Parts: sequence; C-alpha cells; structure tokens
Amino acid sequence: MALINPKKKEVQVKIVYYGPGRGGKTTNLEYINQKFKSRIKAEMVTVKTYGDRTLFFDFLPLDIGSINGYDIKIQFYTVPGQVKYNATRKLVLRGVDGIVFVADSMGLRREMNIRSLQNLEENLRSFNKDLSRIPLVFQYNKRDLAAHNIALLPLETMQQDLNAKLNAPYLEASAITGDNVALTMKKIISITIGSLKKKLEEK
Amino acid sequence: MTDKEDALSTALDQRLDDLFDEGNLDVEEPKPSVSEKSSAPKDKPQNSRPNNFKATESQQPGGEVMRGLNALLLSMEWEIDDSVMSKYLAEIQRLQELHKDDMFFINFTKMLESIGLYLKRHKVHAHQDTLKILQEIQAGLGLLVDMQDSLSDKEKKIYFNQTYERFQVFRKQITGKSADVTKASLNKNTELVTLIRGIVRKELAMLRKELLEELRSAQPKQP
Ligand SMILES: Nc1nc2c(ncn2[C@@H]2O[C@H](COP(=O)(O)OP(=O)(O)O)[C@@H](O)[C@H]2O)c(=O)[nH]1
Ligand SMILES: [Mg+2]
Repeated sequence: MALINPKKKEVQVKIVYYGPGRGGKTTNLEYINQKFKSRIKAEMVTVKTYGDRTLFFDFLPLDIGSINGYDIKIQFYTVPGQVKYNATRKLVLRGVDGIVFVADSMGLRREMNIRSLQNLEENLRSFNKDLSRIPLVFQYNKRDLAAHNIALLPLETMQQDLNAKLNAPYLEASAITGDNVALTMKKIISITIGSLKKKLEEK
Repeated sequence: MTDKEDALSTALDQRLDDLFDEGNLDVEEPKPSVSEKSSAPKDKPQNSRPNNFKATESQQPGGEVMRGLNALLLSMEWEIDDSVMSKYLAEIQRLQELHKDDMFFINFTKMLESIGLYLKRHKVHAHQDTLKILQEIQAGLGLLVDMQDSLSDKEKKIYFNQTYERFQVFRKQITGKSADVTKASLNKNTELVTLIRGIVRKELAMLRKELLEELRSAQPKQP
C-alpha cells in the first residue's frame, strides 16, 4: 500500500520488477540508472553476493517531484529469480503498488516465465492480494536477440501464456539496448499513480 | 472523471515525459563515457561467438570453449594424479594462448592455474576446499564466456573482483595466514548483513507506519 502522508504532502509508491531469474530485471533498472543519472539524482543499490547477479535485490529510488501539490517518491525493486529465494521475494512484494513482469523472450525460457508468474500470484495470494487488481505491465524482454538468430517466443505465444486472462498493457523491449525500457517504466508509474488518484483526492 | 483527476494525469504524464525524454539526454549528460550500456547497441561487437546465448542455456557453463577444462575438472573428482593435473595445466595454457587478448579471460585462468599447480603439488593432501574453489572459479569463467557480449567491461570487472577476493581468501587459508583472512571476510559479511538489516528495518518501519496510518484513518478525520 502506498504511503500517503497528507501532512507532509508526500506519496511513497513501491513498484516491483518481477520475473524469472536472468530475464533482465536488473538490467532494466541499471539502464534507467545509467541513462537518466543526471536527472534521477539517486543511487541504485544492488545487494549481491558472490557468483550470482542478484541474490537479494536491487533498489532504485526515483523522485518524481511535486504533482498537484504532492511530492511523489517511487521505489523500484527487483526480486531474485532463484527458487530458493522466495522469502526475499515475498519480503520485496510486501506492500507493492505496481508490478512490471519482465518475461524472457528466449524460446528456452517459456516454462520459466509461466512458473514465475504463478509464483507471483501465489505470493500475492499469501498477502490476500489479487494480481488482477494490482497495476501491472508485461515486458517481453530480449527482443534484440532475434537479430542474433536466437529462437524467440512469438509475441502471441507470450501473450497467450501470460497475459490472456489478465489483459494488462504489454511492451516488447530490450533491456540491453534500452528499447522500450523507459517506456515500460513510464507506463507502470502512470497506471500505478492513476490507481491512487482516488486516495489522493480523499485526503 | 473530475477536473482534479484529469489535472493529475496530465501533470504526471508531462512530468514523466520530461523525466524520461531520451532525446535530450546528450546535452545534459556531463560525462558521455560513464554508461557502457547506453552505447551497447552500436558498440555491440559482431561477435565471434554468434551463438553465445545458446551456450548459456547448456548444462556446463562455457560451452565449447570450456569443454576440455570442464571434462578434466570432472575427472578430478575421481582421481587427482599427475597425469590429469598436467593435462589440466596444459589445457589452461592452450586456452590462454587462444585468448591472449582477453584480459578477463587471462586473469580468470591465472587463478585456475595457480590452484591447479597447488593441487598438483599436494594432491589428496591439498586443503579440503580446493576442488570446490576450483569448480567455483571455473564455473565463473564459464559464465563469463557465455555472457561475453552481454556484460559490460565494468560488470566483468566487478565479477572478476568478486571471484578474485574469493581466491585471495582461499590462498591465504592454505598459506596459513588464516587469522586475519577470516577477519577480513567476516568484515565483508558484516557489511552485507548490515546493509540487508538496514533494508529490512526500513521495511518494518514502513509496515509500522502503514499500520499507524490505517489506524488513524479508521478514526474520524478532519475535512
Ligand atoms: N541480449 C539481451 N540480453 C539481456 C537483455 N536483458 C538482460 N540481458 C542479459 O541477461 C542476463 C541477465 O540479466 P539480469 O538483468 O541480471 O536478469 P535478472 O536476473 O532478471 O535481474 C545478463 O547477462 C544481461 O546482460 C536483453 O534485452 N537482451
Ligand atoms: Mg537481477
């Protein structure tokens, strides 16, 4: 749940990048962090340990500035993909306001995408939350690999596998080249804040 | 939809457009060289291993390049004798010759070589963790090979440094200077634990705030 502080006129929003391990979540945030360094004025924190790229999680704070008198602060998190880190994933998911599901377009990752989405739904259910009622954007990542002759899942397959019921906005992207990375972030911020509008008005 | 809501979306969209406008960045960015990622599309080498991403998916890290080395390492689990160790060291030299322009590759293999020599000298009397360390570093090298084109030099360096630290800790262990080593690695651990603890603590503080907020909003509030 977003923290809305009417006295300080501050809104804190938590957005989580979820998805299978090695799908490109960290690369998404790294791209934003690098590319918009001069505007973001915050540091990305990556908690990692030996030999693995994200044993725990990445954290990127983003200050949007004042909108309608409210200072909007967003915190982006990524979760570790490995099965054994489900406790960390749950911790990171707690209080989530919006989710970007980064799916891996590589043909070989089809199962992993599906399983990761199931895991997301289960974890949310343990907080009595329903994925279909949380602002969500699908990002079909690594589309650049097509140019390297690597078998990719067709868009329709990914949509069918992951988004058939949820019918959430989706984007094809390449976190490594930056294609649609910023757009993904804009989209999720926009719909997440949109979902808070009512609350902002009430206060 | 009320005017207020509309105003909010418009203001937000405007702000997001400004914030994430990629067109104007060149002028604003103070140092053009910082980001390796952002220049990746054009710099991306027409790589010598077109199928490197496929290799990533195979069981053994490093694919074709590392096959010989991986097979020899596997056979060490059965027996560590002069013959297998000589072959292992010879394979390292062959690879070093092949990749002599790749600094990261060379540096990784130097660690393998150093441990290989130690293992050859001491065989079954070597430190009990030797094989494990060797496997770890070799798997690390394999991963580096697989991910060659998708890692920036900065990332490779971070990756190498992590591995090198690991190697140093081990080396000091076997040369007996374990006292300060343990302390050093303990310090590192403490750092990490402190960081994580900090984050978790923040999470808990947030939870507490949320609960208070909820309690407060359950009470009648001023208009
Ligand atoms: N070709 C390509 N590689 C990518 C892309 N996104 C991520 N990667 C690579 O995939 C690997 C895993 O990415 P990472 O961001 O660590 O995944 P995470 O586990 O989801 O955080 C890294 O080697 C990245 O460089 C992409 O869009 N295209
Ligand atoms: Mg990661």
